[in-house]
Amino acid sequence: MNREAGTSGGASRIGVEIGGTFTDLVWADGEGRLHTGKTPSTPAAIHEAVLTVIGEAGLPLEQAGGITHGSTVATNALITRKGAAVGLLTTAGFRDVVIVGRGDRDHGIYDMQYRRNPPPIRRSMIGEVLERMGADGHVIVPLDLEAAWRETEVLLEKGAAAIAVSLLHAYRNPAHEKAVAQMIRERAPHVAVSASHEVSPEFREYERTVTTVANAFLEPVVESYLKRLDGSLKARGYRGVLNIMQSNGGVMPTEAAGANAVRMLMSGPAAGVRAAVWFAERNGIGDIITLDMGGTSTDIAMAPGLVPRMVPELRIDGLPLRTASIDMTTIGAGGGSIARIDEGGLLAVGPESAGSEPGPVCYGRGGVEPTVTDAQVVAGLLQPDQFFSGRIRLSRAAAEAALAPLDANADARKAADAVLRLVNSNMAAAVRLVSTSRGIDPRDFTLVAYGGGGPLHAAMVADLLGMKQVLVPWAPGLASAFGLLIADTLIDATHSDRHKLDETSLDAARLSHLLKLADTLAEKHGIGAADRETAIGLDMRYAGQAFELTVWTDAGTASAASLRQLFEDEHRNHYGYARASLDVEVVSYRVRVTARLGASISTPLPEGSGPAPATAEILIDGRTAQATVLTRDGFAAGQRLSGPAILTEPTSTTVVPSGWEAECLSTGDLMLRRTR
Amino acid sequence: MTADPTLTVILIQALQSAADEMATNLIRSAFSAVVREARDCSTALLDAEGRVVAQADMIPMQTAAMSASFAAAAEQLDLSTVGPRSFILLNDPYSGGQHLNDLILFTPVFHGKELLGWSGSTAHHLDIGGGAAGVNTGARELIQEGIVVPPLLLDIDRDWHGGMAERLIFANIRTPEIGMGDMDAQFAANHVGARRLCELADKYGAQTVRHAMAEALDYSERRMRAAIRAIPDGCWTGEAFLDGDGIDPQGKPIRIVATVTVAGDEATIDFTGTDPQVRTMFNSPLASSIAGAVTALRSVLNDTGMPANDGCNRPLTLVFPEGSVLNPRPGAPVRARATTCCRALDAVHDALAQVLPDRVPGEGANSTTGFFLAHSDPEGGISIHLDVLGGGWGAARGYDAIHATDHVLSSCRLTPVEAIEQLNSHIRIEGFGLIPDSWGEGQFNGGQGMLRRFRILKDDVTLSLYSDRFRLAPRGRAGGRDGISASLTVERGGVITELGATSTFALKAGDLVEIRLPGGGGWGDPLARDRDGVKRDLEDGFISPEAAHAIYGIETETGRTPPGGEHA
Repeated sequence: MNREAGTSGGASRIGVEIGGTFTDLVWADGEGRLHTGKTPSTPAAIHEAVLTVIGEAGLPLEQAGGITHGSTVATNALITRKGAAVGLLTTAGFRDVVIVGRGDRDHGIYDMQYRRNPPPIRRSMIGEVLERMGADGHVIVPLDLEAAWRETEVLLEKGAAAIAVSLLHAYRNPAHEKAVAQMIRERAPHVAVSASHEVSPEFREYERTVTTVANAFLEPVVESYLKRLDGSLKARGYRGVLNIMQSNGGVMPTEAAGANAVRMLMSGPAAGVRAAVWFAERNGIGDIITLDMGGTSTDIAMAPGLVPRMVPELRIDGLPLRTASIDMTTIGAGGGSIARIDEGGLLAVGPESAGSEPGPVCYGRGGVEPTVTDAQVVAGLLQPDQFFSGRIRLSRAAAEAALAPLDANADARKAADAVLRLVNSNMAAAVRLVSTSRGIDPRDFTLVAYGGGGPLHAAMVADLLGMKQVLVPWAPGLASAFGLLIADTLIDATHSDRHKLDETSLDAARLSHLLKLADTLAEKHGIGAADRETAIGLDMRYAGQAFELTVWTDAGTASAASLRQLFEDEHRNHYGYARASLDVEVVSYRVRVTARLGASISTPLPEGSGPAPATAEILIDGRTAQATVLTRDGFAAGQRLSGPAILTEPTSTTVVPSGWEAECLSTGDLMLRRTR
Repeated sequence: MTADPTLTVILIQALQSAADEMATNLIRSAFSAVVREARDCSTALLDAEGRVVAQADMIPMQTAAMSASFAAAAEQLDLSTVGPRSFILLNDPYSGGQHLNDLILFTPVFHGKELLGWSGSTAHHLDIGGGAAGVNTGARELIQEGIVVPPLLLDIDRDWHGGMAERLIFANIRTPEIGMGDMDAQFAANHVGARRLCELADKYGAQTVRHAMAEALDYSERRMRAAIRAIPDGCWTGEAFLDGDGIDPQGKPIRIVATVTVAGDEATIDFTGTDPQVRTMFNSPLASSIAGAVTALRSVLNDTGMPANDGCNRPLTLVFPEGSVLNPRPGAPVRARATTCCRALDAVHDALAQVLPDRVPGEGANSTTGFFLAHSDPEGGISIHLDVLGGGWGAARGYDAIHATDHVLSSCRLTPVEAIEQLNSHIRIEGFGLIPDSWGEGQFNGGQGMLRRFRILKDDVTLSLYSDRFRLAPRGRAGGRDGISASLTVERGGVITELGATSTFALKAGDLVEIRLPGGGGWGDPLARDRDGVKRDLEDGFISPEAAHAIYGIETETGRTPPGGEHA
């Protein structure tokens, strides 16, 4: 393991990213050193890989003060539908809301045999409760609590391990839902209960119910693995807290995780964005777009002013899940993505992936279909003998043989070049999705590249977008694990309160409710009053529209006119127009409680010595060039290097195309700048 | 192919993502529930000649004919005077339009001084005037269905945002604020498309972009030809029936006949033999009929994923006899044209099932069901609830069909109950769900039909409906059973009134309205269905113990549903 320098004093802390293929570790010890590790994941019992990678670091676990982890457990459980047996209680007459859905067909609209992913619950496990709330929140049919209990008993008899409660208009008046949830919690304390007004207090019954059911479906799974992880860490002498990363880029203590299981679905990618923000900040960079390329996909997000843009809904496996998440676009272009010629005779890359088994052809583990990694090798961008510090030897000849059929003249190099250009173009299109299509010009942003493949493609992608700078942080292949180490605690909540925007929108009565909500949340998550910041946002729209835009504000300072101005600026950004004649309404409020971690960490600087620079022939955009090849560790702070060049390191490879220059900044991070 | 095929792929994808972005923009900034929730709208990018080169995957009925709409407009207008602030607006079914509610907007894309192409968008407008709020089921002429907008070449600064055309059009519409909001959303969407096209031209040059547009068409054509070539040569005839023209409940069904001829990589679809046009709104104008025929073929090919554009239509010859229900003479009402197109699709499938038995499913509910509850407040003001509802789809070999989903020619989504109740104080929904035993049973089951139950809370509410399959149920295939048909009832003071597929009815406070959509046709013998599957369906309440026993041949304990709920 590496012994590397630089943290402030105090207890040591650990970030562990449990990915589908590898479990990554970054450990900041109490004496100012960062230690890193990587070991194959153990999906059947994920804590084993965690213990292995911690063990390999050779540091005393009992002295660690905090462990934060990210994991794909919840996402995998949802995608494979391997969660708890869930029972759902819903309003009488609306049993099928979650079975029918919205009737959308989001892929293959010309397919007469369209298939939809099943909801995470069977119809036999849905019971109806006699009650009805009106759209304005008044009671139309009173709740029959005893009948609701009888329904609950039926579901428990059928084996329900978790109960979701989602009643119509509960976002407006949760009284009935609260009563049902409380009753079950009292009478069946062993059963996990998720209530829609707690999980997702927003209108649209299908989306709210699916989110609540998914939460109930995942809660026991999350609780169970956390218990095992926590237990095995304690058995090794660990005495500190165990945190988990959420989709919003903040951490929460694991005690709060089960009840909020749906919040951790994008845990890994969110940690990467968090790290990107940290690295940008320490280099004085203000506006960033992130490019995180892994084995099967690439995630892209943006953070203007270093605040990641958020969305209120994630779509996972066809299910719309209402949970605050970093706005991420994922494309099926990773190192393992397969290239082929389609039915119309044109080249296509992904989303099918060779994964890690058998993997790309060049791995020599039985893969036969050409992948992006094979193209990187043939184009000379990936050095066969330095991949994974030489732990995996890549076969260039095998990659060439696999790629050649993709070119009309069986020219493997031409095929490789075409594959890479197409991947770069797909990535650029995804960047546009998070930037230009949201009304933001990416050219003034810095692209932060990480994940194993991000630094290889970033400058080429930036070229396509007219972006001028690329930041490649320390250990880009471990960025997510690093993000876990430095992330703040961040709790998001919403409160539905639809009304016409006026001077009362930010008055004391409305705010006191929100601030009380913030207090409750902080307390639940163990955050002291002195340690937190609270921000309030308003979801607004023109009366009559269905989708809201969020405006963040300082409590007490904004008038209705200035709120309207902020909203209309956003609307013009997104949709190109604003209409003075229309009313603006507030639909709901958002509260964000932040507890800053406050620790300062510094990453080790490159040694500035290493093997002498070599040269290699590379192919970019159809042009062959001789590139300088050196190790990143040999490229010291303050040094500059003109492209074409390649910088290798254990977890990644950075490509500096011609027309670009690389500089090792004083922090040790790399800055690539366009020079032409 | 070009000197740089990779750049061509990149540009084709860029055109596609621009069209998709237009659609996202339109939905998110729209005002009516029918656009923002049901998503009854479409977007496309066209080349300078008006050929669709890329379109978002929205409503096939609207998109598959957008170039036909443009061509009809171009024939009537002098496009040599088009400038950057010009736009074309139309809805006339006899000049390239669909039905009057679909306002079609084309805006030119100028790169510098050069016309590079057009942005196009269609949105279904909640109200378009005419003889009734909702749908005028009594219309016998087109002009009774709403305001007719022939292709107009307008100028944004002169004619819109308070200009003459906007004022004239919206003076004829019951919900002008919503309509203007949706038009703003259409303009915003078109603007995004234009901006993206110009950015591509800035970066790669206008010539390269034009070339890529031509290549996009060629590419889709090649995929279409490859897919047609996979069908053996031959000639097959099929038929399908509409319940009737909506006037006489016992009248003669309307027959649609399709003869499909495949020769090599080309196909002809000929509707000769189809019944003459009718007096009511079930006529389908040419643009809609074209969309129906093209989609019918595309939806059962072995490649349903090719980018949709005009290139797909090149290998096709379509014949619609003049004066037939699929090509009516000007002036005839057309509001319910989508349902007629659905039968055109059924007839094409009926023909192709003879040669593609594994790809063509049984019939689905496959009808546009436009269901309106309009409240005209005696003190002024009107609110219109519009639901576009779908039933079960048809089953195929290896395919249990999806439930309660709008048909393939449309793709409208269900509007949330909570959104409906927020917007309409005159109604409350008392029930919404699937109808057990409504699917056509088979070795593979059709999808279940659905019901919605509305309590009317105020007087002065008018129900109007156009639909189909109230008499003739969706047909099963290969031994699969038919689905159940649709129905509409009103309960007032304990008395139930049954209404038909074409209905207008005055409601009072306290009435209970229930609409039931059909289940889809099954495929194969129900006795051959997987036994565990039947037991599971029984546990889940999709079928009754009686059906399990009598139709699927399963022995069941009477009166008790076995426990279920185990998960993975």
